[in-house]
Amino acid sequence: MNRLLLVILLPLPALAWDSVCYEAGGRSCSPFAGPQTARNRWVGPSDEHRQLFEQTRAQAGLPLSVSDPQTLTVFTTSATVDIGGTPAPTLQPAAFEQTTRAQTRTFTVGELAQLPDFSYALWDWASGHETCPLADGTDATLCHDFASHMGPVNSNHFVPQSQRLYARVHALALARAAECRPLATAVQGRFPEVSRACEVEALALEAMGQHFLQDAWSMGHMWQRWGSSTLEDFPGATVEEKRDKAVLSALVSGFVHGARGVLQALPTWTTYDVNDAMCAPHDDVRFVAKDGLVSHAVGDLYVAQMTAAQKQRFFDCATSGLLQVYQATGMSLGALGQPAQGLSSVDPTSDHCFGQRATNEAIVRGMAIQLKVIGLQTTIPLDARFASWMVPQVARASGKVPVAKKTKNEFRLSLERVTTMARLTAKDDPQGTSLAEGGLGDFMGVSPNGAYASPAAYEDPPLPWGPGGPPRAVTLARVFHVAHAKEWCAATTTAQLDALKAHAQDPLLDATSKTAACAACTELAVRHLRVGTAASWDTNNEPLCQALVPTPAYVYAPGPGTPRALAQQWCCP
Amino acid sequence: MKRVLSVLLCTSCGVLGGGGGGADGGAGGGSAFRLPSLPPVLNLAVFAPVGAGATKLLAEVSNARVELDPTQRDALTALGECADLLSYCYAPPNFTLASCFASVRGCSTMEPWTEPACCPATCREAFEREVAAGTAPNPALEKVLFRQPDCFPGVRAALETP
Repeated sequence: MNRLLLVILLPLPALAWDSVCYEAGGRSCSPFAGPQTARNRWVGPSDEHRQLFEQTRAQAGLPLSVSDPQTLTVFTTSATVDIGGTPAPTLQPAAFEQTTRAQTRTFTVGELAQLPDFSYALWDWASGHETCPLADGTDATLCHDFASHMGPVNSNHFVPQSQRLYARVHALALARAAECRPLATAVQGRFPEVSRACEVEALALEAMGQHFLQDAWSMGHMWQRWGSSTLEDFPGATVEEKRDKAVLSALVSGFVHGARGVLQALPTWTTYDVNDAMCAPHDDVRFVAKDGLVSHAVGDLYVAQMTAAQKQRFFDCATSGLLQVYQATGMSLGALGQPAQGLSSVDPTSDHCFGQRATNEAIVRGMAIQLKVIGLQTTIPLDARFASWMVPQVARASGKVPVAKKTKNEFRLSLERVTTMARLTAKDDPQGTSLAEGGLGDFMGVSPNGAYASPAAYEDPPLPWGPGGPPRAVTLARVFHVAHAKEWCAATTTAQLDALKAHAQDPLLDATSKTAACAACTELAVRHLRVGTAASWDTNNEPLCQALVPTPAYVYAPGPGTPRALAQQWCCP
Repeated sequence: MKRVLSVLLCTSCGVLGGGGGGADGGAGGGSAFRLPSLPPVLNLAVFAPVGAGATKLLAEVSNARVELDPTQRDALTALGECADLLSYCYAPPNFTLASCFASVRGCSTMEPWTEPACCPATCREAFEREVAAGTAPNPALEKVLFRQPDCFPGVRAALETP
């Protein structure tokens, strides 16, 4: 399998409202992809997706506690992962009885609205971005690099694929939320951390899904970009050919979408203001909603300039989706407040929320490069002649090389066709939306994304997530082990509790490993611990598992002491 | 600075495309009479040079790069120029593709990339045949210039030669 050298000259911003990753000192995450992004926070300047989610939360009337930082304790091994040449502790969760380290993952639900720009799915995030969900053996950092791997398959950030994906993730969030409600009842206020953890997980899913809803309301995303979320769908006899076409069609899609994120960062462009359509405001850039509403709109990097109609429609949809999920839970995180005035309740998966499309005129504007030079507005049209001058290059192990002549000419002809036919169509019907509806036709044999309907293989697994499930479900259940206490209570046997204890008392463990093993044992054991003996125990102090499942395993420890202290003593005397 | 000033001068001369109708060939509609336009003169001064020649860097990301070589002269650049002559000329309902084809400069050689922008008579004839057979003008143009571009000298070879 050809491995591409990691040649990052620019951390390409995702084709989406902006997402950010910052290290503790305030520097942008470096590398800006892969395991490093799973270890740092996604809060800071230009965190547009997070901002949109927090505004949605506030407008929907969800309690402030939804925005609180959450910290997960993840039990791992002492394995390491390479991050930019330096080994770092793995974040991949281990079987509890193999724990030798304990790591923490801190995040807010709102931050996870950026997840699809860094991760392929929630399970991928839970795995610390340490594997390649594309299953092609690629290095984890490169696999999560936007330009080389995620971008070429991010067609599901554009309509109509984004509609289908949001619908699936929203359904998963609703299903998880529905599991939280009986959980809240079962624990009856004694173990609020469990029902809260469940709700956080459901909201995390919804936040991740709302990324796609948010993108659908970014002007640059209101059209069918070329491509599929699965590399195998791209034309080509080899993986290399498929990847080249995926990379090149993503690059051209970026120009239509709005190229500020790519061009502004080029050293020679920093003195310009690359106010490139369709993301930047432009008099001729509008969308048409399914019900006929026509409005201007803006996109990535311009969230503060969202138009009134764009904001109204978006927040109707986003608050409706978020409220559906939160109301399906037991609302242990707090009571609902009053939603903002003027909002309408809508089906967030419907065409009302995903049917908006860029006008033909807007698409043609998007095909040009707009910039301001010393305050003077300039447009460089991407027409057929401009396209004919292009010399595309793609990365190989030896560096960037021109593509084969045949591929180059296919690229040029395809782009000449697209730009020419778009211009003609826009002149015929400037306010129509045929171009955005797939009317641009194929690009190098790659169809508009509406033609590719299958979900990507890397999406999150269906519920239930628990110890008996497929590997990705197990990963999620291990990372969100408090939220999935019910599943762990049901699956953990007396023998497994004894194995946890034996591991924690293994004399071969070093001090750090022993501390982590004891913590893992304590965390699981306390859920099964009865204070007393098998003959007589404190029935006013039943453990969590007794409330959650009919016949859990029990361990007994005579008091005095709190259940947690007794569990710790039981694990590590 | 010199590059910025030259861009500024060209903008003020109206040589560079402005924001709306001219450079993009006009994307208006409705019943008002509209004039055809010519493809704009492109000034690539904003793009960084690559090496000592005329090649410019358009975009570079971690796994791809696109350069612009305005000195490229081959069948595809000639095709692009022809397509632009037509698409900028097109101004419905008054200036149709047929009238544009009739008004643009016809190529005088079998190597259009050696001449100023032109459209081969063979393409005009192919377009007219398609329309006469019942194909709508836009799909007809798409077919003869891009989908089955055999009317344009050199394009088929450019697509098939490794």
